[in-house]
Amino acid sequence: MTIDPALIQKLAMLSRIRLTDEEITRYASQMTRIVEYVEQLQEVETSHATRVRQISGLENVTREDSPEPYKATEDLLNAFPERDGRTLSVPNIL
Amino acid sequence: MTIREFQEARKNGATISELVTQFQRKIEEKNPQLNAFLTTTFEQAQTRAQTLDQQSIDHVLCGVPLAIKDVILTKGVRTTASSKMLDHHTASYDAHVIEELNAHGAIMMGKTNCDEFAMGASNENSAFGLVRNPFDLKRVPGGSSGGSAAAVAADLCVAALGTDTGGSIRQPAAFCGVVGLKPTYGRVSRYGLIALCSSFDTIGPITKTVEDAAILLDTIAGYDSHDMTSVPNEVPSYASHLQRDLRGLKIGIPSEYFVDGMNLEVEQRIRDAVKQLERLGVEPVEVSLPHTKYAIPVYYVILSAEASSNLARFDGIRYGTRSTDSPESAMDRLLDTYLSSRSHFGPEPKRRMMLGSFVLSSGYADRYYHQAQKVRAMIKEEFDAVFQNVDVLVAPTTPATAFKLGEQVNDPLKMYLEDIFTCPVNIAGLPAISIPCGTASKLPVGLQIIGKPLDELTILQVAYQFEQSQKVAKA
Repeated sequence: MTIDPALIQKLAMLSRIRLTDEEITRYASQMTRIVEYVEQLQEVETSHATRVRQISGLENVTREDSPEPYKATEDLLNAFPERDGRTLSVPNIL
Repeated sequence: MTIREFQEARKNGATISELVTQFQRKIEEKNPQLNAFLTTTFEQAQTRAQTLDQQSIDHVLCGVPLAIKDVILTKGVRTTASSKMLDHHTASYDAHVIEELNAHGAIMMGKTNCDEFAMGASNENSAFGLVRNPFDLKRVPGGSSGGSAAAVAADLCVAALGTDTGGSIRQPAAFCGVVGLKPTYGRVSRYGLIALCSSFDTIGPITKTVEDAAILLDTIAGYDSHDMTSVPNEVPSYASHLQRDLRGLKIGIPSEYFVDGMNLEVEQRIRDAVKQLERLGVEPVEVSLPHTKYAIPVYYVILSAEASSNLARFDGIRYGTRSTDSPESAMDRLLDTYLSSRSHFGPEPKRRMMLGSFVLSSGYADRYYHQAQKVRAMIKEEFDAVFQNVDVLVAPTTPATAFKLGEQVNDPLKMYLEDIFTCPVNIAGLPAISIPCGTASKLPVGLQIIGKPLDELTILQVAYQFEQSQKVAKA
């Protein structure tokens, strides 16, 4: 399976990453090798196997649906890249 | 200086303040060369030391200087995941493990360098420079917890926390000649850990002795309601149960962990260690884990899939680096913010995110991601079957000793193969420890002991008895 530059551009857009032409060429060849390497998984007969989604064996972990005040809201807001007083600045989409 | 030696020094009259100052001086002297620390917290450390000197906490960790890998959130302190994406990011809260360490009086000296977002096996993927191995400054310390391992090996702190997703505690511990423990998945809360691969990630101690690893594990292990993968099982008291008569214990030696092409001196050190364990009374048993060769492909398919999802949150909107290239049309501004902000990722995160998108994409998910999850189940079942007949497994941690800086950095696939003996353990969610077992051409070699789920106690006991017997041998 060859990962060609066109596929890299598609994957880059899916990942919301911008790449230079040099990066596209370089990653295409590196990722082709990696995908070729993981291709060996096809050797394994897995028709009887179930997919592992989670390894701890825990199921249906729940908690009471009761709200509690969060004490550190200001600390979370301080991480915001741009603020204007009580409002948070984001890129406009309209 | 170990935890025990630290408390001895206090009993002999040293104040915590004086001891913290000693470590601070060492960091100031050696860190420019090693680059183990990205951020130091000397002021906070001194303030805490003075408070504890006034009012001590009755715990063996009181005053003990630690280093914390920079993927663990420490409130009010710069936390970067060694990435330009979080260069100016200050953590908004403490990880669960940090709350526990603080409550027991431990003192943080700073945040350690690592591979960017914990992706790597040499610490060469850090956006803030490489880390040097204290044993040989031209060599890598291993990764991704390279900074933590180097800091402990160079005695810049008493102990450190690292994280292990595919070997990132054990491999650098092996390369740097220190102890590194990966707990069972779910044993230690991941709340406040910047996620790489949520079904593999663990937090664990990197220390000079097995006892110190047990003490740290005692403190950080246990149920946390903030982490829904945190197991509710009671935590045994590890540090006070290290002594054990090993006679009759069965240790499995998996044949697939002794491969063609591995360093022969490393292999010999492991065989020597097995002989040493036999002298302590264990019964070695040859075992086989046939699907071991598929562990790396399973690991990288699942890891890149989960990482691509986990790193999607770094979009420049709520935290982290936000940048734009100011497009003309307002319609493009959001997309442009994403593309521009996310250009602050380094090459390895970019590669893995794209690989993740690929293995999850329609038309390929079945072939790669679902197939990997099924082979994962088979690898886990294989370990379970072998553990019906043995108590622990003993194997090398790595196929060779620390390689030279720059040697592998341009070959991502070759770097992935470093995880060959460590990543199967993360795939199966098991606990494992790496302890020093001698040298090969003057470089440290690590012995890996793998245990049954939630059986950290047995692997610590075997490790402790081995470590103590090595001391006797040297004397």
